[in-house]
Amino acid sequence: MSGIKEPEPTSLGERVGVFLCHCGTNISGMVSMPELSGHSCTLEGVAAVEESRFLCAESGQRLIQEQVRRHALTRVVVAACSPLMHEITFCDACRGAGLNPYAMQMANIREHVSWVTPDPIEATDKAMAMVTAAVRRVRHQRPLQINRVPVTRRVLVLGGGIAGLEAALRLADAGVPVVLVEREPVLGGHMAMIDRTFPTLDCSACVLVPRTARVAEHELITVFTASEVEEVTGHVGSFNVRIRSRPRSVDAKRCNGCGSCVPSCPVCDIPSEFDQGLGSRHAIYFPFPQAVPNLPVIDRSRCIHFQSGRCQSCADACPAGAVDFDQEEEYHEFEVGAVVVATGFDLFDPTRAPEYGYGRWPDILTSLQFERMCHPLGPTRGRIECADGRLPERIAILHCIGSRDARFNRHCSVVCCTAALKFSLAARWQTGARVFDFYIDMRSADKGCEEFYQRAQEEDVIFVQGKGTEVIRRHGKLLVKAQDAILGRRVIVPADMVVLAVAMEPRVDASRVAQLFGIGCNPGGFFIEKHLKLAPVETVAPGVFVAGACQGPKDIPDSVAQAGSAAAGVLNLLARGAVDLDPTVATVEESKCGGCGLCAVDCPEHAIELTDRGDRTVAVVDEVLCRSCGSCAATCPTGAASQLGYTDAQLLAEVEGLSIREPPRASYAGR
Amino acid sequence: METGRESRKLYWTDDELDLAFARRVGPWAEKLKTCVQCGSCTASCPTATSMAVSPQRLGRLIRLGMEREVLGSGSFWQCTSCDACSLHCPRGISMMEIIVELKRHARQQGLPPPDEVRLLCEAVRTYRNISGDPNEERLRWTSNLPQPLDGIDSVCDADVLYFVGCIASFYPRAFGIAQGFGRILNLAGLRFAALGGEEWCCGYPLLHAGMEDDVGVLVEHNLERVKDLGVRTLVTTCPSCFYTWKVLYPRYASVPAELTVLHSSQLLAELLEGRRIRPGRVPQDVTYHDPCDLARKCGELDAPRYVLRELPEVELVEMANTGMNSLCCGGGGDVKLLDVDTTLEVARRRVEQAVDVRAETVVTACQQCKRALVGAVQWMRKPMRVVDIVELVWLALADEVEW
Repeated sequence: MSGIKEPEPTSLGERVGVFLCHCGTNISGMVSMPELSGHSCTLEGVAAVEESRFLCAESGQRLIQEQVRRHALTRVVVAACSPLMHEITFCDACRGAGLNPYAMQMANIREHVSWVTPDPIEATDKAMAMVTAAVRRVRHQRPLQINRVPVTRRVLVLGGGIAGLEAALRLADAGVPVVLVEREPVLGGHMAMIDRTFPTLDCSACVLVPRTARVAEHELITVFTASEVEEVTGHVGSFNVRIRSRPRSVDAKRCNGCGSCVPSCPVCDIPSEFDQGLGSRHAIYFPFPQAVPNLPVIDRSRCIHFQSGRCQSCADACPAGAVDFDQEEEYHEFEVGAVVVATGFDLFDPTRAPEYGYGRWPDILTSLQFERMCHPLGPTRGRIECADGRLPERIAILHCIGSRDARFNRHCSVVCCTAALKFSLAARWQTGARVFDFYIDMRSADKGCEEFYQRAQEEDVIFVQGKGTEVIRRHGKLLVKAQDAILGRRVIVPADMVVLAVAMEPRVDASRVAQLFGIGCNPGGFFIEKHLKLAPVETVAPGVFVAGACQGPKDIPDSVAQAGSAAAGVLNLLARGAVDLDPTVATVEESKCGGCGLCAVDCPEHAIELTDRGDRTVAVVDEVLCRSCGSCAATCPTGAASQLGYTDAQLLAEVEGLSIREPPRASYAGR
Repeated sequence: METGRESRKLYWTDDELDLAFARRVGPWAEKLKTCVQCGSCTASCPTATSMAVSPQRLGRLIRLGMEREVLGSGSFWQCTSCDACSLHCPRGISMMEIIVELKRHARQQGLPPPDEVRLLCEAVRTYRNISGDPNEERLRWTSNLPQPLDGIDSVCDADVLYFVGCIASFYPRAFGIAQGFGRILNLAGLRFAALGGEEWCCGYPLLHAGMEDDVGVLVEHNLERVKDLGVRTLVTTCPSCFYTWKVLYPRYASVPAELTVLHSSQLLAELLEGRRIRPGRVPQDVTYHDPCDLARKCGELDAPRYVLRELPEVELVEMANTGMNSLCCGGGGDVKLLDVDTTLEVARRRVEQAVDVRAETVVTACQQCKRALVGAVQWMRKPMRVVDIVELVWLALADEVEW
């Protein structure tokens, strides 16, 4: 079928070309293409209708360009797959034929029709309605001017764990200034707490500390610890970020890291966050011995000085006069061209699953607590021991606590199986204890990890296929219950120590961070990437990248790989030097504006301001700040505010097109 | 046996565990610690369905050290020693080897084997053969031949020693194999010798029953006779004798380096290749059943197929399970002795496969496979011949032999 008729002159005067893609048989297998083609020819304003087996192929794109020229088309409708897949392809094809890309409209007749509508008759009807809607809409579309803005050569990296450190170093080593913001008073994240890393069992700190040190010393990296990003405005190429730094109560310029202050502090019974509550710390403390930056911090909530003002032992002990009780929080503002979000993960709190007795009885530990116990600088100096100091004779390790559990998290936390193997080996080697490992499936799949599993088997760890279901205490002994799937029997084993391999969860405030940067979270709460396979570190927000466990549970190698990928994405952006801004921004038709200011109130980006025009007040949009949310257009009582590309006329035409129902047909007999 | 009560056990706990048990059983059992519980052993085991405790569960019980339950189960007597389990095990563990270790361990613990096995092994110990006949009568199978075999009683100056094996020596159903083989050797002009009453059981029945302590005297004797004769080639028609001579003897004694151990199918292939025998037409569609001891355990897949391809107008079609992944006939181990129904059921599955590919004849290279498969064919009332490869070759060589 080809262009078969001259368009009737219409009030809109646009000449529309309709291009129908078969997508192999993806669409044509369900939708009757002859019917759809015939229907398209009858639509008002249509000057050409063409079909193609694969419109996205080079031949398909050439077809579009030829038809645009031959029929002097001014608007194009592509009925094919999701615009997420190929909108850019067809925009480029139009541009190549001299059309503004915003003169093109897609009708998604694959994901929205052929793949989801099981009945060919219904599918064809729906495809016709969608093509009708797209044709009606496209006639109201107007060419939009794309603004090109320069990219600021500075990057915000959010998070100082292994992923953030890696991204920062990669960028700074490429000559790009980096602002690194870490919430904790120290760099390193969870990796700093780990003793040894699987499957090679090399020392975590040996790998990490040189990196934290290099980040701290790098002339192109500005580190803010004990800091958070409070506000983000702007857009790709030019984000404005506002950073709030909490007071350390120690003057970084004066402090030489000697540590004299710490033992002088009379408060010494505060559970150490770094040791996961197994050890204690003072009110002034170094988070851990190799901390970067090597500065102590005062916990104001527990410091006597801040309670009653009666103590200043640390200030007296400090030879450098660095203790500064009056330090206040500081704000820093930066303009950055791109952002790497690497905020990491939280661990599942096993008190939420009370059947495991965590927090109720001693010697039931989380994986990270056991990790700290194994660490030579940890609370027990690396000795695996019970709360009463005994060596455990039986240790039970329970997988999947909080993971793969519909009550808490449906996802698999990926790292815990191999981490549990690591724990079992540490326990066997150090204590010779009998180690039971209760698992649902052994998911130890990464490079070298299956061999690691076999190593643990050879070390006589007793693996039980069956989830550890509960931990009870009888006669002072912990008992673990499970089911041995192979023998089909219950297992009840006594244990002196129980290690719960707890889930990796999204940070509690992940949704707030997502909102701050305009990115999304998946149902499990992790940041959602733009495309799981093809754009794994990009997000829906241009210029905002994700790396590490904030995007989903992953181990150190994967976090590092993703950080490198995110850095490459940023460098790509910077190398281009300029970015195109989405022109579908809000606009206010001043003649209709009553100056009520409702739009300005609703605008989440504060992109609308009221301006005095002498005789009256009108709303004015800052197009650079606008993020195209459409709130103003929806709220405007007079219809003065609208969003380009989504005007009332366009949307109403589209809705009209969808709502025209042709009389239902009984069958396509003879098709 | 305590199987009934034991299998109703509801739970296990720490006190019952005995992690040293596997080590006491043997080096193969110790490998069970790397078992990933995939169940391949059970899935590939031809007799698992008749076992009270499947190979996978047995492995788990051994790993945990539940000795009483393991030894009490008795399921390991259902192993046909086909070794399909080790072919499929992703961790390279052989349940077959573990079961042999287990039988040995049970014996050391004073647990007697089933009566049938005990009697069989006593016959071997007393009479030097499995049938309990006087061992001097080992050449009984030659007595009804139309003409005596050249060299059958001469024991000097031979090219080849034919190690006949207990079954072909004493069980009439297998006489044809030994007779055919002897006559082929004569026809090819190969000087061969047989040991007669000086041939003692190879010892495989004892080894497989976990009685390796008693096998030394047999191994020593047979090796001495071979050394006395000075032959450089020993050939067997029985693949179990072949496996024992080739794989197991070197574990228990020093076998002369210059001694070549051949299976009849390998020797036949050599004779055909050297054109020392020229077979005539025996037109038929055949399928080849790989004996486990020959194929899976010794890796010989090609020689018998070469022989079949060399027979004029014999069409070879392969069954679904073939080569290393051959299916057991059900007659291995002592299963036929202990549980003939299981043997029949396993053999039936194999004959079904032969029926599926429309074979007229199942050719095998083992008298025990032949016995098991014939039993199933008879039970299933199928028009199917089962022959040893030696018999088919002899048929192609001698027109006057009645079929």
